[in-house]
Amino acid sequence: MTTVVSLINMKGGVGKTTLATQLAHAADKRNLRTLAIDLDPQANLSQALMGAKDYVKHLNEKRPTIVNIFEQYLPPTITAPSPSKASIEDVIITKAGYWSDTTLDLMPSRLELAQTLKNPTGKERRLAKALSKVAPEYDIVLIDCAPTESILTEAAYHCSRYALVPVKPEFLATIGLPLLAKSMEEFVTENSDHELSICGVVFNHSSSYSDGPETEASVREVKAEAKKNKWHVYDTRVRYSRSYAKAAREAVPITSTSYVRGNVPAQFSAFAKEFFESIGL
Amino acid sequence: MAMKKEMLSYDVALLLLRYGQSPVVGELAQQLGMSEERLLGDMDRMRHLPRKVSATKRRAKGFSVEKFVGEHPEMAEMLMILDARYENRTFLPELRDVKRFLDKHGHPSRTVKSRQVARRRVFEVLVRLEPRRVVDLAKEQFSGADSSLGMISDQILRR
Repeated sequence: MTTVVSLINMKGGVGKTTLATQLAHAADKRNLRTLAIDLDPQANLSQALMGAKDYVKHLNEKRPTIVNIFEQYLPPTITAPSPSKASIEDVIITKAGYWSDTTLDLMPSRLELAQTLKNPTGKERRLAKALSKVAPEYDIVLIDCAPTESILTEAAYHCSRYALVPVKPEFLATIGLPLLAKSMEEFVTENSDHELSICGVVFNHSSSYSDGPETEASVREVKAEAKKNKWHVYDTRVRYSRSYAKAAREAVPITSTSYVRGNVPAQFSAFAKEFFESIGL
Repeated sequence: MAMKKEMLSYDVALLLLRYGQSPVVGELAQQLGMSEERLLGDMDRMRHLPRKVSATKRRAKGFSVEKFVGEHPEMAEMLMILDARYENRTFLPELRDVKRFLDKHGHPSRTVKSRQVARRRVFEVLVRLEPRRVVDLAKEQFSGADSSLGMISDQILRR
């Protein structure tokens, strides 16, 4: 059985991609057959998993990306001089994880995904349709979403059973939460046969040391909202560490970054355990 | 540190080119508050001091590609090429590249702190790879020492 989870928040900079990357690796290390889908035109998940060099190589070789799933064809190239039908298997990069026994696959993105936003009619179910062909081959699918509501958000909803919501405990950042709840509510109303719910809210990117009164106020407010709406809030907070940024730059797991403090991977590992349990894995 | 030394070397070369040896030595002696003779004497002594070898270099010194070449003659040529490229930083040019390479091939890189010290591990991985893959690595074009941002930026801006 495959569980599809979208990492989503209507606010940018809350650490969706960082969590998606490290959770994908954590799933991979648990030997879960994992598919990571980059649904953001900024393609940061692709860059963090593949590394800048391999990502650029992939694009320069004009290899398929998630754009081809939405546009449903592969454009002509030197080796294939006519358009051809795009299948999801063409797009998925197998064994894209950080370690040797990896079972993590990746559906990379590219900037041109933004073009899909300009002409979105009828494209919202294409990813879900394509995913349905390969979903049984995976235990978990993680979708890293773009931070604004668009056809891409809807496409993510159509694929997902759960939404994982990273929240940065700062006032303006927390406003993304009700926006997301409203967007999900509307989706569920329009798609009453679809079971979509928030598996949990995780406080992400909070101060690495102690929390000041502002952070604590935001945490209290989010918890109150969560209680009102019956959303689960994870006990573990994923606190800020420079090592996350370093891991993304170096395209390595957090544990492999130089001089990482021991508590950083330990804390992430505790959150990952909580997360997997919350979705029954 | 190496970068700083290189910059200093360029700066000194530029000064010598612009003003010549004598005025530069004279000014330096004045700035240091010593005579030119004493400065030249000190410089001469420093030139003849035995060079300190760092612990990292001492450990890396133990590495010899010949050992791997001897044990895997079928890969000899490629290993020699990769060794030379590792040396001049056109193969796995940065520590992060080394770590990623090791992680990808089943050697946890958590304890790797230096590119030179990791050299032996890299070659232990290389000799376990399929020869075709080693050939690919040896032939792989070096894309330059661009920054990660630079590479992605050039791609986005189609430079």
